Amino acid sequence: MSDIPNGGRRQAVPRQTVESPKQVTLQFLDDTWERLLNSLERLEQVSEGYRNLTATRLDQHPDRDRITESELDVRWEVHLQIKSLERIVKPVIEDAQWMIDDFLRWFGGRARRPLAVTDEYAVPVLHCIMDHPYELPDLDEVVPTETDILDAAEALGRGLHESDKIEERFLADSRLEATRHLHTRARSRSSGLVRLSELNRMLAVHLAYVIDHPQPAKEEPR
Amino acid sequence: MSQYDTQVPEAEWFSLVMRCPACLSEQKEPGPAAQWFHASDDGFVQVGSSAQYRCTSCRCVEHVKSWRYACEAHQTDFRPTSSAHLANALSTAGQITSVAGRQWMQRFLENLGEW
Ligand SMILES: [Zn+2]
Ligand SMILES: [Zn+2]
Repeated sequence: MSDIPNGGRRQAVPRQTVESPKQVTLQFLDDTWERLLNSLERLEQVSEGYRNLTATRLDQHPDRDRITESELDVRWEVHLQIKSLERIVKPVIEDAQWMIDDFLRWFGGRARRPLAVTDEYAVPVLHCIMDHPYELPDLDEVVPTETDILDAAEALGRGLHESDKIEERFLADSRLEATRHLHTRARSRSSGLVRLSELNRMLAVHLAYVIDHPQPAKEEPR
Repeated sequence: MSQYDTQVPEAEWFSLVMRCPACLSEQKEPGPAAQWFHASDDGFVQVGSSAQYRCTSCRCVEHVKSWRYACEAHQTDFRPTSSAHLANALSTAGQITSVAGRQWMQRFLENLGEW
């Protein structure tokens, strides 16, 4: 009963690493992309009162219906989501091109709005999904309390188990394919490109070229 | 793999007292928060402000990536965990944690280095 200790386990003797299927990583990519855009849509709401939501599919925030977090709280999440996405993009960069297009159609939803804090993330996000180096703005640090750390450790443990379940679903069915959810807020990518050119003209010109000259798809052994 | 502690001298350590993350992920009743133990030697597990874990018995300090949790309600095993897998977990966890928790999670990613 309650006197049986919990057992926190560690990788004392690592098993032979089983390469998890690529579709698992692609699913992590789609899901983390969703959470990144969700955090940016939350940032639009807290910093500009602008509500144009396309990325609520995986929203588990306790305050999702009425946001109580501050702009700084949300910005720390945006940073965490970008850095997490960076780790997931790396091994599957050739399959991440669709996100550039998706981002531009999402970003076009900001057309004609005054420049605001959310715009600061357009260039880092695009560089991240192209696996290029990027810089994030400095944020004020918050000293974590014991409760913060224990809650974060619990949330992380839960996230690891939830990720395991996604992996198991794909291992159980080799025909399963990862999803690709789109976040279209503008009819075409051009309004996103125009706004991007106000922030970084070189990048906008480069992307316009890349989009018009897509790389031929490589043959992937299945 | 394992290193011995003191490489992060300014780190503060706390007893790892929490509900069962595996049960939470299954939407099962996780029970009250309780101290966690190292499965190989029953040592107390602590978590650091440096975003590492250590065992007070064998003194090993390790990064979180391969840890899984088993309470009396179920069994689990160790798993090889890719960088993308851990990142997906951090992304998921980032939604439900405090601003300081998010900062702590970013230390994980920084402590990982190229991996
Ligand atoms: Zn449990
Ligand atoms: Zn130990």
